[in-house]
Order: sequence, then structure tokens, then C-alpha cells
Amino acid sequence: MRSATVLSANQQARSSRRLRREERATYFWFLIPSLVVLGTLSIIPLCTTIYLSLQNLNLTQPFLSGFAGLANFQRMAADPVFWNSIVVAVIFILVPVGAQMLLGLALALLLYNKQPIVRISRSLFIAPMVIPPVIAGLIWKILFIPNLGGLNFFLGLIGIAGPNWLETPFWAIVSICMVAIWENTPFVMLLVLAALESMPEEPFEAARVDGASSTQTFQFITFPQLVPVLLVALLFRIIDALGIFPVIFILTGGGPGRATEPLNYYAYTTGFTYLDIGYASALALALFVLIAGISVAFLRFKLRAVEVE
Amino acid sequence: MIKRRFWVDFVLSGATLIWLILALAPLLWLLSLSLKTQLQAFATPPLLIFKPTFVNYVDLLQNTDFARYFGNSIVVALGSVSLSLLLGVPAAYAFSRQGFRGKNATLVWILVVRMTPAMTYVIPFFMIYKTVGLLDTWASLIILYTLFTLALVIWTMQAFFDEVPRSLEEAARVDGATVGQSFVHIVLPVSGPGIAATAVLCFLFSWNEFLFALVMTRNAARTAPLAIVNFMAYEGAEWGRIAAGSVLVLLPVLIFGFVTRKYLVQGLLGGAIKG
Repeated sequence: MRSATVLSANQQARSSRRLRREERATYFWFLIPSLVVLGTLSIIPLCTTIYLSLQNLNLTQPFLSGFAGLANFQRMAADPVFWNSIVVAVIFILVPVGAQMLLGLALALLLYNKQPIVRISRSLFIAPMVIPPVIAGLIWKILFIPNLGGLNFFLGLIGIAGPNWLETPFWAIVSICMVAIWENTPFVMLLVLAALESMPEEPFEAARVDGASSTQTFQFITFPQLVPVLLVALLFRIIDALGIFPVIFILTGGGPGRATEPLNYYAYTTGFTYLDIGYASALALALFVLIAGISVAFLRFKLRAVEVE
Repeated sequence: MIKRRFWVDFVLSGATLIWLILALAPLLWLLSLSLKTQLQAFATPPLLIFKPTFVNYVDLLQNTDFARYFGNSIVVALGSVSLSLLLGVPAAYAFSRQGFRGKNATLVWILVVRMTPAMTYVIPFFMIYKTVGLLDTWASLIILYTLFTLALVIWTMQAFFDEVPRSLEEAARVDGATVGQSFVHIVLPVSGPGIAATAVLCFLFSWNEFLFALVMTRNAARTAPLAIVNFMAYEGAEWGRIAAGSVLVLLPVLIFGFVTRKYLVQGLLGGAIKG
């Protein structure tokens, strides 16, 4: 009797071990296809880019191709167009992203409201964000056409003489910024709104009991709780701003001159207009390093912010 | 006090309304353009009231290849969505249920894929496709889009599976079901909403994408957004066609976007925070 019990306990242990092994095997086969696909599709291109950036490879001059060492990077350091593209990229981060953050926060506070009408209208506000960026560009391209497009007509109604939007460097930059703000403010709004809705009630009730004004409540209770989500929104907006492409492609093509040609777009024209694949790869790598640097710096900063809390 | 409260509400509602108009007016302008003749479209002052006409839509569908390009968009989007769901949903489940060494590193790596600028992928993929002869095929775009949508699926579905209680699966396991069986018969049936929302997010990504489609396709696999842009290039801009085509491309996106607004946050961030 006793030995039988021992035996069955042994059997149970063995069968549960077999179950564990079966379980682990299943999870392994669940994971492996995804990891192989992601690994192949992300590591091979990155290695290829690094390899290409070390080559002299211009598709219009196939006979000149060959190993170039660091020549592409030396060329980049001395290339005024590259430094111009960095300046433009910084402008396209500072102005639109700054405005998106402020306006998105304001809009979220406006829409953080229990009235059913407001709740329904929230979905309408996100329309500019979900449409294809290239179509956002096309809509504004039409609106910006002087005299015919419509924007200047409506500006005229409120007494503003609209400029020739895409013609001069200054107004071309303003135009791109406007479209970027129109398109991406809802992103910040959505994030902040989600954060507002997940805040605990108690601190607000306590503040009300203590007679805090709404300004004080915002300054001392709401805003500090929003800081983490604002930082995340900021990171995503900066990274997306560095990758801005369709809007520039449609509206200005980088011009007039190179006034609206950020690093991203410079890499594109180098690679696919001038077919200088080697140098374009070096530029794309520079962009990659820039974004990786920003992300790492941001993660460190964010970690510190969390520790302080 | 009540009077002041009223004025505050009044000003705030007014501001909200003006904002809403600014956000939507460009879209309505596009819609109105698509329903005007070329002559009406650029009348000065702009016509606000006019008799709508569908000539642009008829012209677009009869005299151009737009329907075929629209079909390309659908094939490419559905292809990448189904592929990434097929691969990503089981992986997300394994991530959610099983701890293993390097799990966090893997998840961070997936996030890095999401953050890497598209330009870093365009050049190498172009060269690779050129070498293996994949340029201007559905496959070229499906493969590229799957890279991004797969990362999206794993992040969002992992967060979703974390919320699904384990008690049911455990009961089934005690009754002798394998992990695979309990996943298929117990977890998947309750995951419909999560999978649907993730599928929509992936669809939006593929449908809206421009840069890859611009570089990798010429004519055979050209997607709808590119076809619209091409109306700008040839024989002067044909704004009627552009507007009509844009509206057709916008409609599914707007509907999907509104329906899944709640999930957009998570999806857009690739799970960097929980919405």
C-alpha cells in the first residue's frame, strides 16, 4: 500500500516534469517565428546600412564603386548641406513639437469634461492624426495655393493678408510647422487625456475640502502627475519630427533652396534623387545615431525623474 | 458665483468649438472640393454653397487605374496585418505567460524597432530588393510593413494578455489540456476585442504608409496614396481627382480611428506606457 503511494507520487512528479517540458517547448515555438522574423528584418538592414556607408556607391557611376573607408563620414563633416539639414531638423523639432505639447495639453484640459457632448466630440478632434500624412500634406497644398487655395480667402475675411505660403524660405518653414501642428497635436491630447482619466480622485477631493483654487489644484496636483506622460509624449513627438517626410515631400520638396530640408529628407534625396547610396547610408546612420542618442538621454532623464518621485 | 461659472463655461465651450472647426475644416474643404467641378473648385471667392456632383469620382474610377491601386493598398494592408497577427499573437501570449532570461531585453529591442527612423530601413531594403528582384511587388511592402506591425502586435497584445485572468487556463491545464489547447480554446475566444483593436492599428499603419511605398513600388504594386500623389505630377495637378481619391482613402481610416480611439494611445506608443 505504502509503496504504491510512493510510486504514484513518483509518477506524478515525472508527469508534471514532462508537462513543464511540454509547456516550455510550446512557448518556445510560439516565440521563435516572431523573433526570427524581427531579428532578420531589423539586424540585416542595419548591418547593410553600415556596410553601404563604408562604400563608394553611386548608382549613376557604377564604375567608381568600391570600398571607401570613412570617406563618406569625412565628407559629411565638411558638408554645409548636412549642417544645414541639422539646423532645419532642429527647427522642425523646436517649433512644432513645442506648440504640439502646449496645445495638446490645453486641448486635453478643455476636453476633460464629463458632459456627453464633449465626450463624443473627442473622437472628432483626432481626425487629423489618423489620416495618412501624405493626404494631410495634399489638403494643405491645396489650401496654400495663393488666391485659389482658400486659406488666404478665409484669412482675408478676418482682415489678414495671407502671404505666398510656400514661396519664400520663411513662409515655407511656417507652412510645414503649421501642418505638423495641425496633424500631431491630437497625439499629445490623447495621451494627456488618458493620463487625466486614470488619476485617483482622492487628492482632488482633499484639495477641494481644503479650499484650493483651481489654479492651485492644477499646479500642485494635476500637473506633477502629468509630467511622466508629458515626457513620453515629448520623446515620441521629437522622434516622429525627425522622421517627418510625406508633408515635406508634398508641400515643398525641401525647398525653396534647402530651407525645408531636414536630415531625414536630405538622406532621401541623396539616395533616391542623386542615387548616391553610400553617402545616403552614412546620412541615415547619422539620423539613427541621433535618435538613439536622444532616446537614451531621455530614458536616463526619465529614470531620474521617477527616482525623485 | 453662479454667473461667473456660466461665463467660464461659455468661454471654454466657445474655445472648444473654434478648435473643432480648425481641426475639421481642412477635411471638410477636401470633401467639398471632391464634389465640385474644376471650375467651381477654384472660383473666387470660394463657393460655399453649390450643387454637389460626383463627376470626379466617376472620372477617377473609370478613366484611371485608381481602383487597382486601391486594391493594392487593401492587399498589402491585409497581408501585413494577417501575417503579423499570425506570428505576433502567440509570441505575445508566450511573453505574457512565461518568464525567460532576456525577456526584457527582447521587449526593449522590439521597441527600438518601432523607434528606428524609416529612412534607416529604406536604403538597405531597396538595395536588397533590387538584388533579389522584389521591387514593385506586393511582397516587398508586406515584408516591410510586417516588421513594424509585428512589433506593434507583440507590444499591444502582451499588455492585453496580461489582463486576461489565468484561472480558466489553469483549470483547463489541470484537466489535462496542453498549453496550445488552452490557448486556442480558452484564451483566443475571449481575446476578440483586443485582437480586433490591434488589427485596426496595424491596418492604419500599413494603409497610411508613404515612404516605403514611394521607394519600393513603381506601377504594378503602387498603393492608393501614391496614386493620388501622382495625379499631382502629370499634366498639371488634377485637383478634382486628387480630392476624390483622398476622400476614398480617408474614409476607412476615419471610421477605424473613431471606433478604436481608446486603443490608439497604446498602439501609437507601441506599449511604452499603458493607456
